[in-house]
Amino acid sequence: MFQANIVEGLIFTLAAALTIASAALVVSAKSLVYSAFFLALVGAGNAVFMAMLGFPVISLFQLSVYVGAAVTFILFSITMFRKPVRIEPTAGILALDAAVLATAGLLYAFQSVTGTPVSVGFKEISSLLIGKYRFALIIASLALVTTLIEAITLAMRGEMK
Amino acid sequence: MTVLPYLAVSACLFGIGLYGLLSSRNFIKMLLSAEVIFNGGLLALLSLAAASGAPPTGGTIAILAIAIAAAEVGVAVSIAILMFMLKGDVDVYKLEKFKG
Amino acid sequence: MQVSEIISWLINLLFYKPEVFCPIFYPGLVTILALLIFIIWLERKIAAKVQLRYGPLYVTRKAGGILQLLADLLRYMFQEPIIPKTVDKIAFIAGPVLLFATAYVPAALLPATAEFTGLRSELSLLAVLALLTLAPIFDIIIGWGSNNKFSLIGSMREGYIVMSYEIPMFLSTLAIAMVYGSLNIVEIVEMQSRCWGILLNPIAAATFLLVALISTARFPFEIAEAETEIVMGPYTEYSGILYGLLMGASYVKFYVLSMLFALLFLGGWHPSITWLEKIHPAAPGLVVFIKALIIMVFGIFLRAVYPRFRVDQAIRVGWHLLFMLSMLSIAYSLAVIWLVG
Repeated sequence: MFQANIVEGLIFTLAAALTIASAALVVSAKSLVYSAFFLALVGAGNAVFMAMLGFPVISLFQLSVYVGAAVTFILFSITMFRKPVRIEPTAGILALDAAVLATAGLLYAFQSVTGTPVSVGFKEISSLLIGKYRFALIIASLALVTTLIEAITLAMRGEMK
Repeated sequence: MTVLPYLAVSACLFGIGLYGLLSSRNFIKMLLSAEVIFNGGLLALLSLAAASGAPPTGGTIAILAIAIAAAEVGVAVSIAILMFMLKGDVDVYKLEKFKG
Repeated sequence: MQVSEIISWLINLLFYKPEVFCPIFYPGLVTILALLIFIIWLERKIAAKVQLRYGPLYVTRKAGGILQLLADLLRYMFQEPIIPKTVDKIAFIAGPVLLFATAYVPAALLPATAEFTGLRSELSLLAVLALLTLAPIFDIIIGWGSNNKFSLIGSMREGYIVMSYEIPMFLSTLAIAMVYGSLNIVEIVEMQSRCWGILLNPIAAATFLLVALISTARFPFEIAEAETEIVMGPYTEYSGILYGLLMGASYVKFYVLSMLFALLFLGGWHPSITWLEKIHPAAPGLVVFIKALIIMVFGIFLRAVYPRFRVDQAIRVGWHLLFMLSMLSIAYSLAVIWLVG
């Protein structure tokens, strides 16, 4: 039990370091392609956290849908912008202030939360998804289909030009 | 191990993403920062779901959120592509035409 | 006494612990290396036979040059990897390493037999699929980082093709998982002891096979690295061991997808040969390997007989044919569930 705790803490520390460092690099990297790549790492680190919290299904879903598809899409469209991209020098102390304040506020709000990681199987989630949350599932599918159509339209438009 | 450290990480992600969102004017960069914020929010949602009485409900909402986020990235990137086609740039300061 | 104890402990750890044996030996790294040497030799040999040539011959002449690829591998190892001045260094060096790693990791998660698996999980199929989708990111990164127009064109083609095959891949796999009502590879194989998956849902099997060919740039779809058009696609600037890794990565991915096909559709380790278990607990898994090898040989044979599609034709195949087929396979699965119960 004691050893399992140590291993868990070690994995958590590593994943937290990876995720936060990657997030900082997303914001600070000079090149947008690197930003997008580090966003993939943020997503992957987040997937580790989800698995540790006891949601393996969502972790794998995040890895395949979010990291796999969304980030490929971002990378792809970034590579299409062949122009060197201008990035404005930091818009001052105000943004930093806001960010620090938001973080502190969230930490203050969260400090009273108690609870431990759980274990949720995919059967429970899928039964909820096709039972109670059926309507939300339909809406989400519609949103995805709309995006698909939109992407195709955009591609056709580029072809016609 | 409680869920508190996870919440701390999610707060850090939120802060970093917010800083990136506010301090850049490149559309794609803002989108990427917003995605960092989304990751922080997702982590907070799942941690709080684990701490709450009904974890599967939180998980279901998270799955829907990820799916919608993928769609949202598609929409935002399409806007960026159109903007690039029309203006030859992705600087949000040049979006004056869309002001209300 | 002490030494022999340590040796027996090591042997036990290496050969009888599935968590260690699976990633390292079978279906992991050692099998992959041996397979790479064999399969690339076979690919060149088959293409040579079809074109009335000899193919690789001079290394181990008596065995038909089978060690040619070993010689090539040694050459790659000792060749200087040239890093051009204009490339983005981090992306250029880290890209191939990460690409090979992400292609290899799913192989370590595949089960060898029912009892002997590296990953025991309810969701092992989903895990393998999720990891399979990560590799294209690095293909795009290295194409961008090489700072070369052929590399960029190649990685753009790769990006287009990824978008057109990823959805059918997920849908066809989920179709067969729906029939068996499980996302655990071991459970799915165990349920195939009477009836193989390819008979239960042939549409999903056909879709998955085509997707495997597209996603690993087998011949009618070898578009991203079309040698006669864009030099070597994303790999143009590479040499030495970095090129070796890149070349290996696509074969490793093909190996993983063939194994997955054998496990999901061709009955896995059924019919099981029980006496093999006396040699080693993972030995009955050889049945899966042989099935996967047949798929791979079929895949590499296509190189000799097919011309190459244009990129728009491949995307049309992806969206018009494969997407529709995968939707159809889901409907077919629902029908099978409804009929059989």
